[in-house]
Amino acid sequence: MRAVDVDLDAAVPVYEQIRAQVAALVAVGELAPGDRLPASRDLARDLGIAVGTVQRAYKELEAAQVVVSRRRVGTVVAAGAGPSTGAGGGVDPAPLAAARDLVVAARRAGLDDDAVLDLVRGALRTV
Amino acid sequence: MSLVALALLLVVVAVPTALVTAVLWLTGRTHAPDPGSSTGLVRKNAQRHETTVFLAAAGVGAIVAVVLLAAPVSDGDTSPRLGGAAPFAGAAAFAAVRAVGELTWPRPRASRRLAPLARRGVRSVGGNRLTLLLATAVVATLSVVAFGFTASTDGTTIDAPAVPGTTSTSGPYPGWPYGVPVLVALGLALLATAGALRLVARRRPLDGLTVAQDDALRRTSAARLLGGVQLGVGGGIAALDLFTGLVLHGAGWPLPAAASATVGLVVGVASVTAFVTSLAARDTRPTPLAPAPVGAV
Repeated sequence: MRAVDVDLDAAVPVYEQIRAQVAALVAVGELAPGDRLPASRDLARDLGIAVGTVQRAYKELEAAQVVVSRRRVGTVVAAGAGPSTGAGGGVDPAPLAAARDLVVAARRAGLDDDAVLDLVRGALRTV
Repeated sequence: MSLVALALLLVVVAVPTALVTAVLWLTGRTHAPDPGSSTGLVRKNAQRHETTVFLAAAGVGAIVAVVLLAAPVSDGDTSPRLGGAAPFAGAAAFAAVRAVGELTWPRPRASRRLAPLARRGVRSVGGNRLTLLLATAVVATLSVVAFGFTASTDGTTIDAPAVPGTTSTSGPYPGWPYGVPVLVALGLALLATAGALRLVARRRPLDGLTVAQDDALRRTSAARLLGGVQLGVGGGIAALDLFTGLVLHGAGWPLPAAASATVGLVVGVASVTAFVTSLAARDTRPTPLAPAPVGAV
């Protein structure tokens, strides 16, 4: 089930945790264009955090064109947001498949999410 | 409807509701789970809390219904008859106590919080059971209005088909002295149900449960709430329609009698079925992500 998972004691600000997780779900296709996100006050109430925190996350997602906010409709995943496209403009399934394979291999090896992200950051800097 | 009867109706609903409310509030607040508890233990505690709330609500609803059923009736006048409203008032009390029960879930204390990325509302949480309840309420209203307009001038009997040279009436017939309290109690039941369902939808996810587990618990709460109210409202109107069918048959109105009895039977069977299935409800389907209206993207 699509959800956000925030740690109030983490060094990363809560709004950034929400932003990153929503962006990630959109990037792998778990959230599709047109999917409605909860209202900011509802998500804030569920998480027990300030409404402004959720609103900042949604604002940053909108600035990155991942979501759009409309009156009466609320916040929805933007058209065109979704799994990475290839050079020709079509959806390239290879990066997503590779990412999933990486996660499976990492979990088998007992690595946690932070370790996996460190691996990816390292690869981005060295490849 | 006299002010005294209305006041009695409200007091009978409010007093036991308030007493049980206080007990639920005190016991619920003192049993917040330790954030370090295992998922299995948290889930067990949550199910226990849900069952406690359900039993408390059912107890209050039953008490209210029994008290109203035992309310004295004065023959020969048009003062309100509260007995017919008993199941509806019981349903209102049941929903009111359930609403309070929703406010006694422990607040999240853990630093790690989970929240579903799905919109939740009364309709998404209520589902088909809410549709059934609303349809039953419409049938109940139409029945009461029909009985009110077809009763004799005293409101408690019905005239037999006209035969030259004779006049006769049959009763008791649920005219307006019965119908108005039913409509008032039905309105209270629907308002209380809407409020309780809104609280079910808005409840914060519980610490220690996965999003899917919390969603299943939420759907169980909604199912039991709607099942209990359905039993009161549907059972009440089923009994009223079946009883009226007998009176109409005795008064010499066979077709209306058959129609009333058929409606009563169908509503009664559907309501009892809905209640029984709600007790076993373990809906594990996730709340669907609400699609945007056409043209929103």
